[in-house]
Amino acid sequence: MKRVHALIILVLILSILSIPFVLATTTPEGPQTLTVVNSSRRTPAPSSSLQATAGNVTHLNIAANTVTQSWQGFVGNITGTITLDDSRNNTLYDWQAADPEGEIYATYLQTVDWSLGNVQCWNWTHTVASYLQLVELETNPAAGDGAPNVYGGIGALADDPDGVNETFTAPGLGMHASFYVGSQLINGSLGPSCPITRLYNSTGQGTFQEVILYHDGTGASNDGVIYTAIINQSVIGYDTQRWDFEMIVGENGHEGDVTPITYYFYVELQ
Amino acid sequence: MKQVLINGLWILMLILLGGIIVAQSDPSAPTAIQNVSTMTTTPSPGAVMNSTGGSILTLDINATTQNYRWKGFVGNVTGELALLDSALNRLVTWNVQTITGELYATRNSTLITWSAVQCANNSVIAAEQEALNITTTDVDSINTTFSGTTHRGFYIGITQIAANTCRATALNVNNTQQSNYFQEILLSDRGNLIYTSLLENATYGFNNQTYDFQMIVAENALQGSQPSTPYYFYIELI
Repeated sequence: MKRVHALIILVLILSILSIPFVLATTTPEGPQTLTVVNSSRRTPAPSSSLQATAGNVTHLNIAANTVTQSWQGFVGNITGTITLDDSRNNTLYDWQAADPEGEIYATYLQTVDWSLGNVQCWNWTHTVASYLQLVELETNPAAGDGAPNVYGGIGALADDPDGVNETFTAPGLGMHASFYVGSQLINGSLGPSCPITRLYNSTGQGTFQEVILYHDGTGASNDGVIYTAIINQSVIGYDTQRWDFEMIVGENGHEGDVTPITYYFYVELQ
Repeated sequence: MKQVLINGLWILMLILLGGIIVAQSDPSAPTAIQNVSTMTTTPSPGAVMNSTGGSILTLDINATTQNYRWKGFVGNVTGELALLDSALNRLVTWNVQTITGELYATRNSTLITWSAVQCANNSVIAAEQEALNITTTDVDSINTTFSGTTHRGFYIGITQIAANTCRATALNVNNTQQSNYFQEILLSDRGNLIYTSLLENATYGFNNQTYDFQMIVAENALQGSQPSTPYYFYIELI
């Protein structure tokens, strides 16, 4: 009788193993809702006045704050559901995640292929013509040669203090948390790490990690960067309120450019 | 007359023996499992946001992500009750019209010791989570998922599992949480975790189609491409 059982079980094992578990991992996808709670920018300081007297030469030291023309900031909270759904989004079971872990992705690319190998750290030292270079993202040149015309260039000069490499560490030189994009490991150790910056808490400490990934598509219009915020769980943010994420994305506001860039947001929860 | 009496006694012994075998019937491997379909969710496209430089936007984001740490099985059961000998010769069979019983799934590749089956205790659950790299405090750990004890009573062979005594959960009906149907219970035999789905009879399931069972089992929680975890299925029809 045991032999019969063993035979049946063997057949069963083969049957189960042959089931194609196509999604051993999840992939980033668009959020269910994305609500803008508010939008604000710096209130300009009033002008300072000086009495001018003919014949005098006055030496001045001036300190000023100016709003960046290269970056847009997002802060916020995330709630989520980790679910077991079929292709019609019918839910067999789900788990509510009040403070989920994971990543938020923002990119100007309209489509992203998240499959293994397509999204990795942006290595701006990778000098291949078809690969997006640092100067291309910073200075916003014309389309072509790895720089599509909607590629999100920030319109800065190479020596601007708020350029890309002045904001993010060079690839491999800064450590960040390791994470997965779908089934792709993003290694945060020195060497293979991505360009990273840390956005501030209320005392100016960098507690919100953001890295830049790169989607290596099949054509210039599919190549580009993906700003990636690693989700915290209700951490004191730049304004003393608790946030799950803080992130910045490139936006060209130079030379009177008021045309907004469209960003597409994706979320991957764990 | 004497021969007739002896024959009668043999028949009576066979009937009694048959009755004993049925009464002691343990769950067994199903004779066939057909994978009708494998489905998963279709990822949503990215959410669009127009932004201008120099400003800070405060966002509330609500997201739903497919859980790769669990896999679900739903389906129907057909079967028959039979009186079999050790060579699987059938003395008599009965078609089962109304499905009642349990479906079992375990990672343990050896035959379950059915006489030792009992409610899974915390140490068994902890060991299973450790084997599958699951953090017990995670919102979707085995410990958290099976945090309730609401289930019907049932028998495994001759072992009774009284109602509301084991760790349990219930799977959705028509996309809605509920606790009356498709109950799933955690059992164990000498340390091996056994997921136990109480069979329903053509009952509306998670997608408003009728099923005899719905079941979830844990998968390796490590991120990245991981080999799927094989499970061994048993069924008991009553």
